[in-house]
Amino acid sequence: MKKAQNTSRKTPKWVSAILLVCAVGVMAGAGQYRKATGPEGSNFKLGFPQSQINEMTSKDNDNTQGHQAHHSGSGQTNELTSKAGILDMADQKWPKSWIQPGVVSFRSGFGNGVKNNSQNEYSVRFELPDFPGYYDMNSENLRSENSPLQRTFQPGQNTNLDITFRIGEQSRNQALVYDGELRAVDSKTGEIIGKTPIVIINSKLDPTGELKGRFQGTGGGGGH
Amino acid sequence: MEVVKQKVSFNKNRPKRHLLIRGIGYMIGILLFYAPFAYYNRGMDWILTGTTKAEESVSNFCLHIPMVDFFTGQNLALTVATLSTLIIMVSAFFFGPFFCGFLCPAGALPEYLSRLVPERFKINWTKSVSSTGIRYGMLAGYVFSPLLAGTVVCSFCNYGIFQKILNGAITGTFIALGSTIILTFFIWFFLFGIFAKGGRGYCNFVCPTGAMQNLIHSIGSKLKFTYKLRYDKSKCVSCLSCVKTCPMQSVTSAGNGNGVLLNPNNCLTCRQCVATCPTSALTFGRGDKYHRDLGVQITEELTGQRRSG
Repeated sequence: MKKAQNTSRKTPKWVSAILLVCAVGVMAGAGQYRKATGPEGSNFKLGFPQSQINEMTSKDNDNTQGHQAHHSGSGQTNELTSKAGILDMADQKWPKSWIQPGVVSFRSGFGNGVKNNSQNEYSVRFELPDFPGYYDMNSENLRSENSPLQRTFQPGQNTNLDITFRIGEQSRNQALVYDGELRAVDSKTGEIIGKTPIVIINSKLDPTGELKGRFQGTGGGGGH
Repeated sequence: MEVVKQKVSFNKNRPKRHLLIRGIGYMIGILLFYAPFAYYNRGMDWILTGTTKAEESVSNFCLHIPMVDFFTGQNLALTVATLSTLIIMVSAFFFGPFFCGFLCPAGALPEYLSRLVPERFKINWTKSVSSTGIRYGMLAGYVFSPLLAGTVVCSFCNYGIFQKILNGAITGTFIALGSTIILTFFIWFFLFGIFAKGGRGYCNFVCPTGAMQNLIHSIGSKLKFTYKLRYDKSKCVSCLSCVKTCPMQSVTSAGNGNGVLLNPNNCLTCRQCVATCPTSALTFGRGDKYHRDLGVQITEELTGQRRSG
């Protein structure tokens, strides 16, 4: 077999080099854009059981960093500390605000973020009391719509919980859309064994910045 | 050299049959890698850990993230994703981007749907600009993104979007979309998808896994013992049916009836061109990329009205 002439067309190397550098720049820009759109979703964390739970309310977390909770089994270094989920709808960029402004998500993370800090097995019911609209909770292959989600946690088990809210236009046009909490309830005793604030605001409708100031630094943002 | 004068007839069923075979491959890809099925992910997880996760999805198989991890040196534990990435990269050296050509439904969906859209509505993105520099630049930007302006993994992911579409279609899961996902969907499905020539603009310009496989394939294809798309110019009648059917515009016209040119930097080795070629000038196998079989030369005498080169 005789080798034939190689007729491969070559784009000039300097053109390819320029395109390559431009493409790297586009990706760097994409990274910046990703950072800018991070606050469109919110992250939270929820470790349980939390002692002294009855003394804590969502208001306790105003102007604090996260939602610190005391856990049973102290002395362990891998306990998960709860963190509030705060979301400002004014942070939505134009694709989100045009296509899907009323649907927002709170995520605990990829495969983690909700943890049984104890050495006991728990059957836990996650509740979102008094949310004025539709919501959907997912944890691995479990799902619930507008109702508590129940699952069993093995000792030390760490998994994810994602919450999606559908907020009507009327509710979106309020400065404080939702100020509630996610509760982890022991389904055997009915006792609240963990909770973390879930807050949705719209700072566009809060010209004084009072709400943003109140919830600033409470650990929201950084979703997606 | 013996000159054989023969009529070249186009078999329209062969490319259609090959498209169907590839389509079956992509359906198998859904069953293997995507929730709620993800049988490959479950099997590999069981092999590696002895258990399977309660929820297996394409995230467990993601071939994008390990490439960043390989470059940054983080998260190098043996997982389904890292092992699969290694397997696919090694296979790309020997066989080309087989995964893209036969198993990746996220790349196939816009390609197949674009075949339903009339050509006059499609943009030929690679007509004036070669995709090679751009796709390797995107790959470099992707793997080094954690060092540049922050990682872009998951935010611009076609696998993730395809999984969301499946979730919505099969389980009715209600999802919140971020701006990056909305933009990526628009680019992947519309701008670079069904309204792009070939329907694989996202694969051509953006997909880091495809670019990495082609980078490896472009090296492997220089060696005789590897499998690659091969071209015998002496058999070519410059009908350009391969150029028209290539979803990546990897096969281009050399102009003036001088046959075609191959670009291993974006060839999926899907072999759609091989199935379309009426004279077997294009084949898939081992040996030199450009070669000539001695003894046979087919002259240009076509049947049908497909002669356009």
